[in-house]
Amino acid sequence: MLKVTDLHVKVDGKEVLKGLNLEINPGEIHAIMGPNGSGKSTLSKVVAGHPDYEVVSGTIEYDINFKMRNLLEMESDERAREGIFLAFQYPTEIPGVSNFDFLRTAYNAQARQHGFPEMNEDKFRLFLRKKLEIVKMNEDFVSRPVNLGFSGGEKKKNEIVQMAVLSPRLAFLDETDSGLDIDALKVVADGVKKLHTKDNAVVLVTHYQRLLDYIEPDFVHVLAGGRIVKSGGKELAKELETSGYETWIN
Amino acid sequence: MPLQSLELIQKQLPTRKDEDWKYADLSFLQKQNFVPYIFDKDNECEYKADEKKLILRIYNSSALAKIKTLSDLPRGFQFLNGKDLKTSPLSTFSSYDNYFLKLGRILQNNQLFAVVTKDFPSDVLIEVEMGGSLPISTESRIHNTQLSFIFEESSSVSILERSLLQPHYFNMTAVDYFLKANAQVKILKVETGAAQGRAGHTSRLSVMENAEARITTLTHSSEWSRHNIFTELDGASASVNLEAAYLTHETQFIDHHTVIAHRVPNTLSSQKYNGVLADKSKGVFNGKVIIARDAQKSAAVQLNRNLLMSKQAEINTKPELQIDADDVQAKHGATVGQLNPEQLFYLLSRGISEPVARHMLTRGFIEEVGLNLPEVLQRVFFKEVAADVI
Repeated sequence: MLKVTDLHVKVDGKEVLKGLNLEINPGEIHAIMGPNGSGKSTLSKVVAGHPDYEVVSGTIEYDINFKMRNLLEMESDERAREGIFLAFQYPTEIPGVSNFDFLRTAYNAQARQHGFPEMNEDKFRLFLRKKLEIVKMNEDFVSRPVNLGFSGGEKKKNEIVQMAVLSPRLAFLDETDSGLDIDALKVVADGVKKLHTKDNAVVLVTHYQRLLDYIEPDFVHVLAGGRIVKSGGKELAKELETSGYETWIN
Repeated sequence: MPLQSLELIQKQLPTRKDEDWKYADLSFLQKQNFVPYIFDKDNECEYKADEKKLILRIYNSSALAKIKTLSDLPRGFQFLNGKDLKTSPLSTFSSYDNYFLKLGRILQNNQLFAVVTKDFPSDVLIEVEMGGSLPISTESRIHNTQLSFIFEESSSVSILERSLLQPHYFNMTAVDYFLKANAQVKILKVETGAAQGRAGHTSRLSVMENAEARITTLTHSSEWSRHNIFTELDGASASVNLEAAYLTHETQFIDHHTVIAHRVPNTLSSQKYNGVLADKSKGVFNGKVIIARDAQKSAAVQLNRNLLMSKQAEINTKPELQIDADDVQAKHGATVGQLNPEQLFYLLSRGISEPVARHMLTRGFIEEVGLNLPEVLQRVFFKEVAADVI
């Protein structure tokens, strides 16, 4: 469903990804691990279409209705409506915009795109209630401004609520485990597992192994120096835990 | 009409050399031959108990402040004529004056006082209409309405104050609020009516021990308007929150001038002014916070943020602190810019299209200002904002 080929990306004039290759199929869970500064976050930002990331060369193809499309030609909102989702490492606070309006607007934008019915406030409230249960989030959160005054854990849970509302086909979770205590980590991991089906794919971008104790990946990739230097099964994560990233730096 | 007032308009207009009027050009009053207009209509007062509203229609141009009471009044509310008061509380504001007040004093020497006590039903909203029902005119006219509120000890009330604008009129309003100890007052001020309307407003507040005042101003419809708010924090632990949202288009001009004087210890003030300026419109924010030598342990926060939606839009912002005490907390700041790109990307990354995302963020920036209002006023605020096409 996603094929990244020889991707080179610059941020602030500096090349961060230097020939990255990756292929993801429906139903798979991938983990991308790597030392700080290796370009882990860059990959997810580029896939989501962040304007600060300049693709110098390479391609990203994405399957839309059984056709591989050039993702880089699509605007970020269009990508999202076609099922690409990024759970932010640092979710943005938006004062004055209620979580409820935000979620409903996003949901209805996607509904319009795919020709299924939009939801009015009452319907959406019922729909949202079920989604909140996935990460045990209190209903009060929906009336508050987006992420404003949320604790680190609440922000991360709110990302998973958004994922639940939008049912993406391909979700990148960027360091979703960072800043979570062990209980919140379990809740978030359980939520992600509930949302994962044979038709969608999840990419866990993480520095540590601990998230992978709760969500078992099918593939683990080591990203270092702007490229994937090793890929393997879940045992690779264990190996990294003991050996560290040292071997891959340089 | 008093000759004196004509002279004030024709010969003694503030010029742009006056620091206070640097960006607010009043010369149209002279160039377009504005004349003072006295509207002889009695003020009206109507209590709609079932709607939980007390409506005050203030015309107030007659020599005497007369009131026509159209219903029974709720408990804890009465009117007093300034002439019946032994001492006028207006002397509290002797350190402050401005051009509009000077002109207003010549046009009217009466003063109407609305007195609210703690017995006033807390779920009743006071709706004030300033300067409505003026006859249609092709002549350019200056009209003044004024009212004073006295909030007795421990009273608590919400007020919606509408200033009604009309073409060919320059509407001046002067409203004073005296908050006695422990009074809690929340006020939403909105301008409604003609887009060609022009206005000059002055509000003065005196806040005593433990009393708390909040004034939220929403301006988006007038062609030209100037808002002056002067606050005296005269009692320990008195606090004032001034908030405003202004939305301007085309060639609109909106100017906010505030002065907050912390006179005694432990007083608090906060100001949040958010503006969205489009097309060739102009905005001004000038906020002065004075913390007197005796006002130790006081705290003041002042923030003015602006979004410029076009290259021709303009904002002149000047936050000022004048601090004579040494043990205080004060901070101020002003920002001018476009929408936050990270917030925009966040919405886009959820599939929301760019025009919708921009609209949501702009609206959020404005609505943020209304979030601290009581629900009944919040509804009005949001409705007014929604009516404005951003």
